[in-house]
Amino acid sequence: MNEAQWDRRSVLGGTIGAMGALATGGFSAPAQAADRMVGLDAMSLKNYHQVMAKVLARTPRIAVPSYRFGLVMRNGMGASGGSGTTTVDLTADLVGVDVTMMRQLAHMAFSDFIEKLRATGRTVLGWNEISGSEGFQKLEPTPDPFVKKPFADSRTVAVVSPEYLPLLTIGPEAPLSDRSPFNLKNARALNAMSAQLKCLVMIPSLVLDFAALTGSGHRVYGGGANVGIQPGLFLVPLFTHFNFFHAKIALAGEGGRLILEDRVSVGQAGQLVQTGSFNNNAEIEEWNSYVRSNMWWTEPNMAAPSRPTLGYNYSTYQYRVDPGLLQNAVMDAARATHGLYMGVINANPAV
Amino acid sequence: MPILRSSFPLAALVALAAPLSAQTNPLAGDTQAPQKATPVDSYGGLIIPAAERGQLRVDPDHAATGGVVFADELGWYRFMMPDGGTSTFDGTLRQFSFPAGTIPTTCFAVRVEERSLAQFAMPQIQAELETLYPKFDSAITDNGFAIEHRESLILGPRGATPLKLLGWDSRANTGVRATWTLMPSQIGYLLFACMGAEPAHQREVIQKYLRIGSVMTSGK
Repeated sequence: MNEAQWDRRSVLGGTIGAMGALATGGFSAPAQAADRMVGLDAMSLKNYHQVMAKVLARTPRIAVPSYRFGLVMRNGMGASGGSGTTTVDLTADLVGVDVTMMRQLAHMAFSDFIEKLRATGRTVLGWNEISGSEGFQKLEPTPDPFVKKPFADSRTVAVVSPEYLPLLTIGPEAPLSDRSPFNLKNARALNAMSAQLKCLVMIPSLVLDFAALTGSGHRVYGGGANVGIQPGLFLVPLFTHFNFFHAKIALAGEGGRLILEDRVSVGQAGQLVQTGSFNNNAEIEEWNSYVRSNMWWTEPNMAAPSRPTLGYNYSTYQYRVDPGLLQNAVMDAARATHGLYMGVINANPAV
Repeated sequence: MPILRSSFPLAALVALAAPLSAQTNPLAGDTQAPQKATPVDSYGGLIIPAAERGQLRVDPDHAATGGVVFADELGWYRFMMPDGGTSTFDGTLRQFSFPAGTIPTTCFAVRVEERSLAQFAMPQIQAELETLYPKFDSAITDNGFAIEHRESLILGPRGATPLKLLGWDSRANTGVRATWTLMPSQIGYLLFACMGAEPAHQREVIQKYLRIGSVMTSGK
C-alpha cells in the first residue's frame, strides 16, 4: 500500500485498504445513512405508506386489544473485500433495558395512544366490552416478551405489550410475527371482534433501534472493507406501523395500514461504548511502516516483517442507555407517531 | 424578557425521584361516552371559547379524579391538572400547584406580549424554532438558573401538525431543577416552567397537560 492510499484512507476515516480492517464509530459513519434519515420533528405522513385508510370511516367505535412496543436489542454488520482477505465485523448490543422497563414504556405509549384516540371524539371501547367478545376469546397471544431475529436480518428485536394487554401478531405482519403468513387465526378473531362489537380494531406497533449501521458489503475484487455505526434511537421502518381492521361478518373483513417507510431519528438515549476489538491492526501497521520507511531498499539484509495475508477486525459495542433519556425519547417518538395516526383518523371521519 | 420575582416559591418545591408507576389499563371498565373532539385551528392551536377563559373549571374528562383545567385569560394556553390542583395569579405570573402521579409539582406561566416575530407566519416560526435558543437563553439565566440541557419539546399533538416549544432543563444554585419551555408566536411568547422532580418528569407534565391556544397560533 503506498502513501497516497494511506492518506486517502485517513481522510475517509473508516475505509481501509487491502490489508487493513477497521470498524468505526460515531462521527465517521458514512453520510449516505444520514441522507435517508428523517428527524422526528420533520416526520410527516410523507414518511408513511398508507393503505386503505378509508376503512377508518366505517364506524366511530374503536377497539384496541393490543399495543406492541419493540426494541432492537442486538444489531450487527459485516463486510469483506478481496474475496475475504479483508474482513470487518461489528456487533452492538443494547444494554440497560429489561422487560419490566420495556413493559412500562409500552404502557406509557399505549396510554398516550388511548388519550389521543379519545380526544378525536371517537368511542373507544372499554376493556369489559373488548375482553367479553367472542373474537377476543379466539385470539392466540404471542408469548411476551417476543424475541425474534428475522431471517437474513442481523437485528434481534424484543417486542412486548403493556402487562395488562395480550401481545398479538397476525401472519401478514411477518417478519415480526411468530406465525406463518398462512395462519389466519388471529386475523379471523379480530374480524369476529369487529363484526360482533361493530367497531374498528386497531393495533399500533412502535419499534426503535439504537444504531444505524452501514457497511461496504462483500466485495470480490475491491480490496477494502468498512462498516460504520451511528448511535442513537431510530424508529424502525416497516416494523413501526399502525394496523386497523373492519369486518361486517366474522369470516372476512378489510384492513388498512400506515407503515413507516423511512428511518426516523429520535435522539440519543445513552452512550455508545466499544467493549472489544479483535484485530491485526498492529501487524498491518508494522508492515505499512516497513514499506513506508524505505528500509527494504536501504537495508536489504534486515529481517523484514512478514507481510500479513489477512486483514481482520471484529469489534463489539454496547449502547448503554440512560433510563430517563430512553423514556423521554420513546415518549417523544410515541407522541409524534400517534399524532400522525390521529391526523389520518380525523381525515377519515366516521359517518 | 420576563422578570420572575424573588418570591419564586422554590423552597416549597420537593424534589423526589420518579417511581416506576403501576400499570393501569386506560381502557379498564366499561365503554365510556365519547369525548367531544378537541377543536383546534389549522396550526394545531386549541380553540378556547371566550366563556372558559380565566377560569379554573372541573375537567369533564377527569371529573372522577377531581381533575380541573385552567384556560388563560387571553386564551394563550390551557393547563390541565387531572388529579386536581390550585392556581393563583399575582398580576404577572400564574402558578399551578398539583400532584402529578405521586409527585407534588409546581408550574408557572408568564405571558410576554412583544411583536419581534410578528412578520413571520406560525409555520415558519415552528420550522426555525431551534434557531431561537440564543435569543431566549437569557430568560432562564436571568432568573438564576444554569442551563443544563436544551431540547425542544413536542406538545401532545391533536392533529398532523404537532406544536413544538423551546425547552431548557436547568438547575438553580439551591439545587432545584426546573424545566422551562417557551412558545414563540407573532403576538409574543409564553414562558412555562415546571419544578417538582427530575427533568423527565417535568417534561412529561408539560407535554401531557399544557396546550397552546389558537390565540397564539392564529390570533383567533
